[in-house]
Amino acid sequence: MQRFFLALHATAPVALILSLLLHLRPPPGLAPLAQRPVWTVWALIGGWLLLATLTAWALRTLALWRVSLGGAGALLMVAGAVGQVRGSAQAPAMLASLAAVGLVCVGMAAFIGPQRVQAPRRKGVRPAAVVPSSATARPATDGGWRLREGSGRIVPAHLPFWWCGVLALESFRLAHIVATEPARSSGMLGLLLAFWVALPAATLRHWAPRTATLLWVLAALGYGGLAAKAGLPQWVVASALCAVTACTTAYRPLKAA
Amino acid sequence: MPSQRTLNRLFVLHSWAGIVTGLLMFIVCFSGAVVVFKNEIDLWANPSLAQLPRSAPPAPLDVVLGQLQARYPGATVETIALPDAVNPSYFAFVRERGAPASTRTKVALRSDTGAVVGPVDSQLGQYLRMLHVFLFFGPRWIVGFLGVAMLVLIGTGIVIHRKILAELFTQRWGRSFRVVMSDLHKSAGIWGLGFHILIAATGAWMGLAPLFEQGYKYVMTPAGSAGAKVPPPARGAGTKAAAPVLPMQSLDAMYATAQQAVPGLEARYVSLRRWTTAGADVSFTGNLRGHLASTARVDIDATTGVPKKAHDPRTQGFWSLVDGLMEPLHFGDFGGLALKWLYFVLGMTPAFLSISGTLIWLDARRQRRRDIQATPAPRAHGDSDVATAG
Repeated sequence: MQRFFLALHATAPVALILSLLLHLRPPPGLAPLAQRPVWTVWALIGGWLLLATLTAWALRTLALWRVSLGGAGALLMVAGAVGQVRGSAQAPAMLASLAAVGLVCVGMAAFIGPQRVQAPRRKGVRPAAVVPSSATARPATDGGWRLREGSGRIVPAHLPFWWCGVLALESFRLAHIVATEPARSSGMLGLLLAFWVALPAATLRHWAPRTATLLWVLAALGYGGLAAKAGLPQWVVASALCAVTACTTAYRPLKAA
Repeated sequence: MPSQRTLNRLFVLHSWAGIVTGLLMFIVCFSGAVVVFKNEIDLWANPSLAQLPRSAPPAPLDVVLGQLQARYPGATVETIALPDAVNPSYFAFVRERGAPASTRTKVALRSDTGAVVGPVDSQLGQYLRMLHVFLFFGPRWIVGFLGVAMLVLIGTGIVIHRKILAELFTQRWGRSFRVVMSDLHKSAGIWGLGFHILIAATGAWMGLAPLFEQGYKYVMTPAGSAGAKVPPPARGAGTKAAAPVLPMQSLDAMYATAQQAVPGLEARYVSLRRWTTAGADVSFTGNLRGHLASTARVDIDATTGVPKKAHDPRTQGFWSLVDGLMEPLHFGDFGGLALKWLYFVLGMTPAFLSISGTLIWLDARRQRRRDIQATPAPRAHGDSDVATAG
């Protein structure tokens, strides 16, 4: 999974250059590119995922980067040559530019490697330059589940972030997919509330719990206001959710006091 | 001077914000660096337009519109793009008769005679721009939120890596992977700091401004009228199949009127709406001569030729001017090819930061797992606590 994640990064330029080549030589029988057809988008997404899957499966991490960078460099030069052959405007300048960028990619592919870093790392010793990891900063956390001291209950430490995600997704759905009034405008406001109020509240939960509580209350009031104005049941639920999260966040500082 | 505890938390925030948004950030930054050359790429990807001449002055707009209507009878001409510094031709976006509502054909026209050349070979530059600005499918807000996330990453990065001047020149090769990557990450971040702040702030502004604007309007609208705000049936009002075709004012005359309303207006696009009907209007949008702002716009009633609305960012207050400067500052299309290359190179650095940050995070995670495996005793206690409680 980790290698696939890296492969998604590494193969994105290659996929984009392949898509560029597809634009230079589109397959016959499909909608013309003058109409900006959607098949080009799916071709890019499909090609990218396929490339990422294949390279993640077939190559180790270093080879993955090297092949991707080298491939991107080579394909850039091919694209420049295709433009030259087809007699495109500014073809020589584009060929030179694409070749230069391609050479940089190939150079990077050759440059990276084990010779740039210390060979095997000493076990159990951390590099001094690195800030202490979050593992030491979160003693009561395990796999994202926070043990609430003394209460005997477990509350997922990342639950508020999931709430933010849910609020943002529903707001996005109303604003962009439903897209009729009053859902559209209230969805936009809901999205702003989720991003600017609820997300900071979730982030500050363990850092500044009182501020986080205040922000959750603000979010609850905001969504309550939206519920009153737009009359959509989603905002009632969102407001209640924020109010409950405010209470659970407030519970900790109260206990500490 | 922040405490170690604060620094740790900012580091956690920086790491998580980076890892959650990293892939999208990489795609947006990488495509954004390429999109700096959008016009050049568009021209290059259209070999059929390579031999077309550049004419100064270009053919009159009325001739262009007439040629389009003759070549595509019954089609709707929606927008005409005027020749610019890179592309010597006119372009038009045409909705052909019988085509789906969302399908527009981009057509090229000669700038000297206004003659229709035909549909373009491709819209590669615009395709890349669609990836950068909309991630193909979404609204612009997503990229706006990514701009804010980038500002958070920059802010937390500055605080947690405080030795800015020293880190500009620190690169320790031959050390552990994480130290090498961390040095590259920090020096790339600091060398491009000003540029990163610029593109993050302008990107966030352009993405989120419509959201704030619409939200503010909604809040200010009384509750009763919000629901009643149904678009007027202007499009269909009396314009059924038998509706008479009304004569329109000359596009060139209206362009002259627009230039009187906003002195120095250099239109890039002419948008026609409800053409040949009673509600027809035309918008001229573009730049201002000798000014960076790119949001000048004049709306004119096409039946009378009288301006309905003029937006001159120079005269409409501070925020309007700021808004007008965002796009040129973000895309760097105001300083020629040298500036575009600078934007391209600097634009690649946030993409690199995204990758290097991800690699550092993954390496740190691997290290933590090794540490946990190396010292199982205390962890086993914690695990049993959770297991019991669960």
